[in-house]
Amino acid sequence: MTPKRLTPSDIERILAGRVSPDDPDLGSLSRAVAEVRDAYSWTPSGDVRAAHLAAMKEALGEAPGAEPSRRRSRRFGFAARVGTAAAGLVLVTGAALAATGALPEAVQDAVSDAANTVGLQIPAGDDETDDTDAPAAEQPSNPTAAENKARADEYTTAKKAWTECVAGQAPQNAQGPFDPEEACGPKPKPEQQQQAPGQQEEHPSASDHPGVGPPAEGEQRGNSGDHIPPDAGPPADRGNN
Amino acid sequence: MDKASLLGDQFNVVLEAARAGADWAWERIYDSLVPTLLGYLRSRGAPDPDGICGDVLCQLVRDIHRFRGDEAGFRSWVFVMAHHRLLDDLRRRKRRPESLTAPEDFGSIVDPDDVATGVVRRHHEQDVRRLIDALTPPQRDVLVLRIFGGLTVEEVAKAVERRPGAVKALQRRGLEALRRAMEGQEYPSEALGR
Repeated sequence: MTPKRLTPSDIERILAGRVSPDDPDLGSLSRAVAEVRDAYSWTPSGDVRAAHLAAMKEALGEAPGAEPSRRRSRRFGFAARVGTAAAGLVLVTGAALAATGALPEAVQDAVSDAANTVGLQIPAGDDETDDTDAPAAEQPSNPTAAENKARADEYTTAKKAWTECVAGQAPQNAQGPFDPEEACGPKPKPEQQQQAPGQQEEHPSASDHPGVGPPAEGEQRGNSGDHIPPDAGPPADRGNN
Repeated sequence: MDKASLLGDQFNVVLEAARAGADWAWERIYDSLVPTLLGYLRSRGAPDPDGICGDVLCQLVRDIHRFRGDEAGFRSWVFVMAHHRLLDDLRRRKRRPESLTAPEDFGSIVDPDDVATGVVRRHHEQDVRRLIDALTPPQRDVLVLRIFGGLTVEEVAKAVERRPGAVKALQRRGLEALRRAMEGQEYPSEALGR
């Protein structure tokens, strides 16, 4: 018996799993597709899941807008990310020392020259650290590396507090739309973190709200208030070669 | 696609929380995505599916702020990422061959204490592998993206860089090849007494 020729509609139904396995014409194909899906779609083991989540958390800690680490290891790129994070720490620490003129003179000169090319003011090896030559009105406006780090730390702290607030608010908003910014204030942005000490207290902390965690199963949630442009779609993406 | 694995109404809230860095949101995204993502990579014969999956997830974390769309678009975006990562990995291994872990690596599949389950799964996978081997590589590329990722014809066309008409022809021929392969062998689940 000649098998039934597959129509476009048949194909869509088969691939979507909408054909009964008992269907006389298409059931065997439907079962085959289900078998392929089931044979390979395993829940990862606990160790693999934990390792994946740890890697994701590490990636979350990277600065916004930072270039992704190049993968040099076969196993989740761990070595590359750890190496990049360690190198970043050395750079930040070294920049902090340079900003205070604490490096050896020859090294301080080299760092100062390099920083000047990108508009950063870092004292040279023989500069006076109190910079008494520059009048107050002509103080350089570019932030030092230490100020950059402090701003980044502020942003990280503010973002974490906002995240905890969103997580704490979500279970309480069982009805209607849930706008995280309405509930917890504007989402922290890196360029905004110039607050005086204590201003972060305006964001409610997780300890103020019970039940911090994911929405319960079956609990209705509204849409976030974020505007999603109607014409936007998933960006095309290519992996690194 | 298993509806239970999708986030459904909670997608937007979970996505926003994930963007804000909430661990619980990333765990929800992980659990809804990774079984089928690993399924896709394994079905494509990826030598290191866990490693590629980990890299895709880290890229997802870094680029989440760029995404706009619904859950179907989100899954499509992730699977296209996985497709490209897999191709890059296969090309790199071709240029620099190295000793590979066998695809049927129990260590990442089952608990060491549950060897029996691993053996059953391995046999099952081998039987199903014969079905997939009946497909040509282009047919396999198209069908597994549709089966595991739930991508539309247009999304698959963009990922594999073919016209939508060519994708439709490939999926039809692929399904017909699957049907012929099934006629030539006992059905895998029946063979295992499931």
